[in-house]
Amino acid sequence: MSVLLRVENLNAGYVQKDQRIIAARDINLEVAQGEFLGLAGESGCGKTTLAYAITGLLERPGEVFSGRVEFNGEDLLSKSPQEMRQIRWKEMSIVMQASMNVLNPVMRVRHQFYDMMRAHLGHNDTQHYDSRVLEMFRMVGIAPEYLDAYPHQLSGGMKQRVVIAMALALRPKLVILDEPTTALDVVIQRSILQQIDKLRRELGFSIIMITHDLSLLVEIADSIAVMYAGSIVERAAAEELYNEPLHPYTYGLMNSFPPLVGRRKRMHGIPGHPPDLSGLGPGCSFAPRCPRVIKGLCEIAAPPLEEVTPNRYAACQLYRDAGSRTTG
Amino acid sequence: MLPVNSIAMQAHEQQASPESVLEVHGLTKEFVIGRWGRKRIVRAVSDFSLTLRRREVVALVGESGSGKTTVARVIGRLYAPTAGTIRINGEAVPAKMNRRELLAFRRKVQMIFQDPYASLNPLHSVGYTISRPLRIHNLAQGDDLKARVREILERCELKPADLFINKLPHELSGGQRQRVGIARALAVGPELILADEPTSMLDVSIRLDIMNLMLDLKDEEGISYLFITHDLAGAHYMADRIAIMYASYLVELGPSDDVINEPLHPYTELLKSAAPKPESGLKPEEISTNYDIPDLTNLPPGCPFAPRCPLAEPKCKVVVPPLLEVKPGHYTRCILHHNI
Repeated sequence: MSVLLRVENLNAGYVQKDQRIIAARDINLEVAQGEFLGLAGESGCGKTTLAYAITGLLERPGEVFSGRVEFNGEDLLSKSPQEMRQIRWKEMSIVMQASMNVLNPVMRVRHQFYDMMRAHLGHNDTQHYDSRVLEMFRMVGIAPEYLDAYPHQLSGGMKQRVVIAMALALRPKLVILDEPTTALDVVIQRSILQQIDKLRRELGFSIIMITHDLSLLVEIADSIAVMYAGSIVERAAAEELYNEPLHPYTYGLMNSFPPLVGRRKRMHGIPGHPPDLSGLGPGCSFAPRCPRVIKGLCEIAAPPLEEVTPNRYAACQLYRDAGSRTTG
Repeated sequence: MLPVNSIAMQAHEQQASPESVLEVHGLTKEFVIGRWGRKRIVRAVSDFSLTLRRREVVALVGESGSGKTTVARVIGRLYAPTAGTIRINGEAVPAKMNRRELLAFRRKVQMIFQDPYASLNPLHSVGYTISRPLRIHNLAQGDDLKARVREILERCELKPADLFINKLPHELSGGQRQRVGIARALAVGPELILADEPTSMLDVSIRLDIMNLMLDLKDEEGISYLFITHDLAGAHYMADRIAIMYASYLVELGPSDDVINEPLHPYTELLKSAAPKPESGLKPEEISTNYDIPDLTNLPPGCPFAPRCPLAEPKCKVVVPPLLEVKPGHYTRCILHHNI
């Protein structure tokens, strides 16, 4: 599969009183065509900043400090805001966290679709628009009657599906979902994700889904990147990550979700709380909470994200120089 | 109101009475919405009965709008019930209470709220927030008050207490704020705590800490919890018994392991199949995407879940089935399991 999105050494964050707070640090990522990448992490770990940096939506005081974002062979960071506006929605779209609230409350759903399509397609063929909107509605499972509804006449789950339909209407190559379903009930959440995944298989677009719910990701994503305090600490295929998490943070995060089935037993999450991004020390940012911390090493040097076994990456001193040993 | 539904519950209650902290019987709560001739009645809770034993945790699970929060608010006396009785330690809670009675009631029943950012006064220090219930209930004064506040903070793992006592909410993390929320509920030494989604706004790595703290307090202080959540796995972790609500009705009630591993009601099945459970295989189950959200102002006759139920039969759409005991301690409101 060819690479659709390549992020290289990206540093992005916020400027506060001449001080740079790096919220996404040295990010390296690749998303193949048709791949479903899950980006897992807790609030404040920089996952949304990363999504905004990729889509060119990071606004002051936010800033991309360095690095490269290559999408479909083009360097996105050198594009002007006007050029980015043409790429967004048409080539890549983003569904945001409270996206139920992005719909204009005084406009019928149909006209909101028209607006978006007119801006990107340049013509005003409403018949063509209608056929596309109806096709999208069918795909996300909303009855055509709702085309002329106002947003307040729709339930939260339906609004979310309308926004997803909008994000898919121009057949983008990449869809970024930023906690698309956290505000919804489990049943609605699952049915929306099921529909998106079905569409991905049919249409062949790629997905980056950002969420804190690792147990959900291991079920639906192809591969997973785990972020902690601005850095990717582990990257692997979903199944491998679930069966054998390498980084102690991934392990702790996995153990923070009590299993649903089986017998009840006492579990322990991760003691302490995530660090403040403005006061990170030189060492591994997880070291203060890490049960496997190596005294005198982890606090001093931050380990880079390295390949531990083929296609498995971890940023942890426990696995440094382990590649040669474990491949045998 | 709906007497048929309650027969089985009565038997259950009588057996549980001596040890029970909370007995709710036939609770119904209606809200009137709209005005100018467009009044409609929303029945948020219909004929809800539940008994909670000492040191027991019952999780109340359901989707938004199922009435689970309303149940807690009626029991906690933030709303008055439309019908039904509530007993605390076997004593009926009167329909109307004066200030003194309400104070006595709140010494026994406390609440923990969902949003630790909104439920603490941003202008009050942690110490002041914890000292308020002690003062209002006249439980401590002067130096004793300070000592009690410290003791309660340390009890909730806000250690050392002196570090936290003068802090304002904005100086605390989400998990620490929720600990303050728990400490405030704990201050008066309640017997029952109604916890309304206490972990849903917290970071995942903090959630278990908070749940473990609540479980420790249950064992050591002898507290019972009504734990409200939409997370089935969290309910299973916390609770001895799980109660499932759908469209204002209690549809299933039973021991946690039984409800999760052998659900009886088709809605519980649906909830279970929709919840992530990588431990039972990484390929998720397909769920039906065809559903309508029930309109509480205009529920169809019969079982409220029938329009979505894959197993629905014509007789399901006639009357609301009663909540009946199908296996020991395991109740369901579904005629598929009632041999009638």
